[in-house]
Amino acid sequence: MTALLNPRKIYMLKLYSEAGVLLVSIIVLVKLAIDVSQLRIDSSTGKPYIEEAPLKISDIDRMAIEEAVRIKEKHGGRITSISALTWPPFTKRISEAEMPLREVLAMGIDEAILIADEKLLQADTKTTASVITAVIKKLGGADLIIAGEGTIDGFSGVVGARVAAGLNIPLITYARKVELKGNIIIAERDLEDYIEAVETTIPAVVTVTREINVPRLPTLLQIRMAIKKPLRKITLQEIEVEVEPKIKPFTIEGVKIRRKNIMIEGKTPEELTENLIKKLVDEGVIAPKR
Amino acid sequence: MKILTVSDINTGLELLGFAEKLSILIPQVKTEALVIGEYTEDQAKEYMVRGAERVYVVEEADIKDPETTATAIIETYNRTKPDIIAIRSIKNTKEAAARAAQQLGIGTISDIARIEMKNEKLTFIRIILSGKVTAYQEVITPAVVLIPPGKFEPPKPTEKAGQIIKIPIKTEKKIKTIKIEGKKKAAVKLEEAELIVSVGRGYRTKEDLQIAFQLAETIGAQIGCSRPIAADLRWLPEEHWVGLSGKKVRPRMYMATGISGQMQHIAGIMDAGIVVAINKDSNAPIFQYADYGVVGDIYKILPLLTKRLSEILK
Repeated sequence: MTALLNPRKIYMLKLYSEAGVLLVSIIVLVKLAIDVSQLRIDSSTGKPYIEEAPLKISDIDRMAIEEAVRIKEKHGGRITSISALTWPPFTKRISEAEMPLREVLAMGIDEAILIADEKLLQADTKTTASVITAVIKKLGGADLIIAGEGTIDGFSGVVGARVAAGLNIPLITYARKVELKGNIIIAERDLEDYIEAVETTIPAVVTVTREINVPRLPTLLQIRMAIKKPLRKITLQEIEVEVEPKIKPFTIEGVKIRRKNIMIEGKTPEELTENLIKKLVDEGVIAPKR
Repeated sequence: MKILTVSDINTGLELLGFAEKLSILIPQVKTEALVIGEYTEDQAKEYMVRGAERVYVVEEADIKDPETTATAIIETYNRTKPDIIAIRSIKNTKEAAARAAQQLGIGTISDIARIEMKNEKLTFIRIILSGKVTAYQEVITPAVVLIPPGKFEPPKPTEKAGQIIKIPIKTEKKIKTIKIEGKKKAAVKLEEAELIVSVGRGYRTKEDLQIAFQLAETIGAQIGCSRPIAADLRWLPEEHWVGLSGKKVRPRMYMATGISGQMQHIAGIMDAGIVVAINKDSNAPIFQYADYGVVGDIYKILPLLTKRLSEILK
């Protein structure tokens, strides 16, 4: 990873195309999440081995990245990703973070910023959002900040909204469709019972759902180019933020799923069916009429 | 400890149930309610007999509008300084809670599974990491707690009375609604289904789902599905989607047919009674999470089940 942020370079300059048109500056919030599919849980003690499980780009954040890239392709501009390292162990995670962040860059992000500070380990959502807000301010803000509606590991689903509140800018959550027209952003919010079309002005925060797009796979060329793109690591001291958690770090244990795990026996589909029905009757799920 | 529930007039009683649960665990719980939007006096009295000593009302706000709801929460918070704000965890109220919490500089705990005392400390329990891990979160108050709908029962009515206090707000709206379009509603209420037959990628075509529909009809089950069927292939509407991002169900029997059993799917069936899995791949993870597993071809087993069960149930 490259050296620490040079404070003089932190402030993002407003971007202009050759024709003098203001281009869109976009920030994408990318969680480096625990890869749940590779999380091992000790079957006898129920202890989850979080520290051994690898990190990956949180699923819905891929859609956030893709949406940012599509907006850039249409309007021109520059995309920066911000990630906060929250899973221990610290030293291991810092070096491990490089691979998913290179993937972020290969997907079309121009620069990746990793907030890496021991004080952020197992941070609550208020702390995480406050730190991300501070980094965005240091960067001089952005026209559009895009995040996933939630992350696959914590699934609190509040950080994007908290960042908007922290920046005091408009917020559109649960967008399944986003369109930028000048300085107006129009979106479709996917709610439980209805779809709400809304509009607001940029700068704004938008959180997206899984349904908004199908993220592209980076090409080999993009993967190669990603190695040359800037990836910066910053600490809380550099952004002058004090951390004051409001929720204590949690303690954890594996969820115990108590199932009978009985395999139905039978050599033919007919036998299997009969034996399954017997069990269903025994369990009282099926009540025979005769 | 002071609890403030936040809801519209129709959905707040279950939050009072949460407050009642807290009052069993810790001494001296004082409960107040914030009602967003329109109400009648009789409805507000219903809150009082079920435990709310005061009912604050913000008529200018709308529970479907996170901006006005957030303002209402902030105004009421500043007035009464609760230790815990309880609000239902649906999309608009979650957004409102997040906005208000960040402005107030307080924590949030999303989607609690249950509450208990652990080492004499009030602890909220969440299921994280796609259903694999239980997290015990000791609470530093004040905090906003997001409660999944239907988690708590309304308390039994008492003779108690209380008062109604109207709070005016001023919201600077930044988001404009252009259009609202209802989603096509299927008749299914999967969360309330007694029996569910659920379908996954093991089906080759949309038409093939018929064999599951026939079985479901025979035993009076509702149809569920895994993520790919609803979100990617769109063979079934979202109402049928069971899992972490879909519905969390609690039927007496859940029959997973042609479903491999990704953790995200399993997270939706944690509270199911009996889980039956039918899959031709004996290594499918679903069998680890099933009470009864059948290694077999759904295309053969399901029609046989339908035939035999219709004879038995006739």
